[in-house]
Amino acid sequence: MLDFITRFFRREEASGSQAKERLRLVLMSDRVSLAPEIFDAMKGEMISVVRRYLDIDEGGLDVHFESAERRFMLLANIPVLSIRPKPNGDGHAALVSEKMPRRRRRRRKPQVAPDAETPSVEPDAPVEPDTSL
Amino acid sequence: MPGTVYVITSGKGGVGKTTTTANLGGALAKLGRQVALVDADIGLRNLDLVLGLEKRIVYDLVDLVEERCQTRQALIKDRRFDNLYLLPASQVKDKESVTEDQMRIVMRKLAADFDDVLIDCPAGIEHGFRNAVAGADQALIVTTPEVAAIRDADRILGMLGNRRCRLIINRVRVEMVRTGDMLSVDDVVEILGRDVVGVVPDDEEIIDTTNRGEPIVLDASRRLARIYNAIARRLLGENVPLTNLSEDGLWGRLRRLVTGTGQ
Amino acid sequence: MTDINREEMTVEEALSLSNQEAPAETAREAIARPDKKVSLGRTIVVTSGKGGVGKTTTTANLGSGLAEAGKNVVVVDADVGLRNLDVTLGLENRVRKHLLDVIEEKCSLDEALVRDRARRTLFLLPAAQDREKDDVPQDKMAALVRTLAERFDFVLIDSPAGIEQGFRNAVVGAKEAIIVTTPEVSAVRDADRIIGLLPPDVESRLIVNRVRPALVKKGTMMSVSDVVDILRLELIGVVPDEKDIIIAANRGTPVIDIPGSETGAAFRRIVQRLLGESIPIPTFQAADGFLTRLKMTLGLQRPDTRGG
Repeated sequence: MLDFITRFFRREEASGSQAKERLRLVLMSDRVSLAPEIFDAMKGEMISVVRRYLDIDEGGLDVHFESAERRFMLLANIPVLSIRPKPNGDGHAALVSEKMPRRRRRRRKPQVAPDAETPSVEPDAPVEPDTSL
Repeated sequence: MPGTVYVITSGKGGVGKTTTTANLGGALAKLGRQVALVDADIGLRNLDLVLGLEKRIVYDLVDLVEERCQTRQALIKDRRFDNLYLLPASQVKDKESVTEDQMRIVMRKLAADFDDVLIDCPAGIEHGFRNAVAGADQALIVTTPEVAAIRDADRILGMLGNRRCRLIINRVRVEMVRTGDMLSVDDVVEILGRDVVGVVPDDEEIIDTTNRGEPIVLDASRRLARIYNAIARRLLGENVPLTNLSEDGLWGRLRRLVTGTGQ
Repeated sequence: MTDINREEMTVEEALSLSNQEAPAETAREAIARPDKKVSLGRTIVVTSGKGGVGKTTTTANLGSGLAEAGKNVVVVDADVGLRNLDVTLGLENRVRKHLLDVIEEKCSLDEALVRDRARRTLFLLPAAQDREKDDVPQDKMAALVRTLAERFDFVLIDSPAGIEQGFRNAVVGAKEAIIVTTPEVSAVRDADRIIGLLPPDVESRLIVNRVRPALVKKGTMMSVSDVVDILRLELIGVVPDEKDIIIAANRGTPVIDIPGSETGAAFRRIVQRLLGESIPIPTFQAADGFLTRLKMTLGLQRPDTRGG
């Protein structure tokens, strides 16, 4: 109910731009549902890439699109059975250990114990603000 | 050189396909082209009414397809134009009485004798739509700047194969675009991703002309007549800039009055 | 269970709030028990022939209004392939399953029904976007409508334009029809055709939509009485054309929710009439002639050069 009231009284946003945003999302949803073969092809390629690095349980695989109020998302739940210990036959590098390489630092007193876990790495995507009402 | 066959389609009903077919056809005829208009809305014909030719129908599309008459007999010449003909739809048969192949054959015949063939497509995506599209080389998608119309136009674009598709954006209300209460032409182009061949403002004069069966292009002084003329010229390859619709409004007229510039 | 502030209430919970039983039931179960005794809800198809006259807007607004009046309402989008009832109600992001899934028994009815965000007793049964109208067999559609009538007070079916299979499917199972037309020659002609195609036992009534009183006054638009004279149907409402409709559509809310909207008020009156109240249909006055006179004085009104 609150969602409805807030949405209706959001006068600062002219209805034209609301329409544009809604269309953007609904057309993505429409176009995806109209091309199942393309979606299956994409899914297949995604899985083969993931399989080079991880052993996955394909039976438990769930890849689908979901639309929320302001977002259209591709969601993938991929159960991982194990991480490949060495590169596979294609010669692609596989994850050797869970530790990421340490960044080079200026010489100074270590702030963390030598065998500590990974240092924080710059996230490469901004954290999405929660816009759900 | 066979003529070009255009299907005027939209998906959404009521956005102005029939009015566009009639007026664009008239505009092309006024530019000297030989034009045939085809009403593919079998069972719910309206192109005849919009053109004011409803009392002259003898044979129709289904008669032609079933070879009960010659093409010459089914085509109705609109005497107000030099070379504009109408092939009416059948009012009694339903859309399943014509096949896509039959439509292709009829359209090919018409393209042999005319420069431009415009097919008025029914709303929806059922048999009627598929029949109308079957014989067409190119598509003109009519849409209004509204959510449902754009959504349906997007759907239809996915069903037109490799045909050249261009947009006609109809019923634009400039004041509402200005206040942000209507999607702009740029918005529509961005969403649908196709070239625009015409932008037609909302105009109450159209209702009057439809009621009387007199296409608005008959009166060259009318704003809409100029706009349909521009669309026709673009179809023929001319690079005509889009009319500045806001200049046609109250302030545009006042400005012209004050500065003394002509229309 | 009765926490009414929770967003995701199930169909059962919503209906039980108004004391109605809601057995989970598939279309097949309905066919197996054709003589189930229950007071059936009203089944109304909203149709027109001509596209774009306002069927979907009408369905959405009447459905919302009836739900607001406390009725259990389901609005059914019968426009397979070109669905729009979802965007008209702003529910497009909640559509997961659809009518065809239910008929083909790929999901239960409850999984497909989308509850309106604002009105707890309004549900939408969405159309499939990716299938074509021939996919829906008429007998299954009739059975589904019957199932819906067993659970809801009102079943409003939004018909597609045209007279093809989509239209025939929308009509099957409906005991009443609302024909929507505008005061334009093509629309009236198509409405006339549609009326002729409806089964004789269907109780039909007329809505004249998109009326522009100023144009009627000028004589460039047919009057409502002209339309009623031609179609000879009982009039259930006259709805004026306002830009509110476009704004409401942009926002994905029904126009009855826009305060001060004449269009919204007209739909509300139709809801009252559907519920049995006799409310007179107002004659719409055009805005007074001040603006017209001003335009003429400024030389901006085109002189009427029509001959006799």
